[in-house]
Amino acid sequence: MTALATPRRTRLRLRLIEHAMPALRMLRTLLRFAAMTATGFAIGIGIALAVPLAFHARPLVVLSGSMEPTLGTGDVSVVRTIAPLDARPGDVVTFRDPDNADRLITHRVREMHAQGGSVVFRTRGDANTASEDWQVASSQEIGRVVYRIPKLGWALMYARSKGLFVLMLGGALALLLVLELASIWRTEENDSDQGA
Amino acid sequence: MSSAIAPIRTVGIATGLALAALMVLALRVPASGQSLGAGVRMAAVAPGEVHVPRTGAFLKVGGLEPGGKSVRAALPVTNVTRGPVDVRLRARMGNHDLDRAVHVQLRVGGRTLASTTLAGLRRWTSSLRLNKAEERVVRVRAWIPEGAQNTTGRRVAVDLELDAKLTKVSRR
Repeated sequence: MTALATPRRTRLRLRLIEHAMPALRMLRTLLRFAAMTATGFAIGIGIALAVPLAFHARPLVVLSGSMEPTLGTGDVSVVRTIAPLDARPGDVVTFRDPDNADRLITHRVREMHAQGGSVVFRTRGDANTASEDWQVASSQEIGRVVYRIPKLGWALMYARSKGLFVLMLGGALALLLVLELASIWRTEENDSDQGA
Repeated sequence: MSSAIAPIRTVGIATGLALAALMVLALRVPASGQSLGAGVRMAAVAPGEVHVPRTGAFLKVGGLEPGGKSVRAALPVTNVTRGPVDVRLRARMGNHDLDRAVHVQLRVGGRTLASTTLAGLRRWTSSLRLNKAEERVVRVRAWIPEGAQNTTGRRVAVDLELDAKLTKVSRR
């Protein structure tokens, strides 16, 4: 009885697998597509962070909520360097804190005017109630926020705090991922070659 | 099979790149695009012989552009003495930023008292005779001619100073 049942079970299993194969193939295709989309997205974000460096712009991490909701804490703001007189009321600009030159502030221009060789600004964070007045020589430069990437700043900050180790680890993991994906493709290609 | 994988790879990466581009576009912080013209504020400073009804600035403009529209204002001046007075005007400014860029025209009726730059208006205009209790309106027009440079964001506060001299009336 059992000797007869075994081939029958095997046949059933084979039939089940046969029926499930298209669905599995579809799932594998979808996963592959999702992985490629994620890779493309990561490449795109990398480009969005790296390319501005070639065009007098740089990414900065937002550390406070003073510009909420325009800029959130942990966002990366990509800031383009401009002459002070190229700013306009309503622009979001990055400038050195008048009280602490090591600190950068990103706030919205409320008023501005030129005075002699300087440009006088009144700025305020969108979430703040107090404005700050500061001035900069018209020959110097300030930044204007062009776009932001939400919450990526946390990852950048973390990587920076852990130093090169994390970057190397991340790089190695990325390399592993790429190699793994490449091996999957290669296996698929070999299978298809044998099949043909 | 490899020919089936390649499009998935290409389309997947292209979709990811497009999503990243869309995200960046959606999260742009747009420049305000507001204009930043020159600002002129003009207030009259009158002596006791004449009266100007307005206190503070009678002309206030914040967006003068080279070759743009001119701004106009009126300043009524009344003789409050018992005889005729000759009134003349000049400009006093705290800075020279717009001295050569802003042009000003002062007219009373059909007569032009001055048509010059702000720098030129630092000198007294020609006189305007006001009889006893007479009120005349000084019409002020200010503009920046095409081609003027270094005006962006500049501001000037002008005190339009009036000088009044009692005129001797010849008696017959």
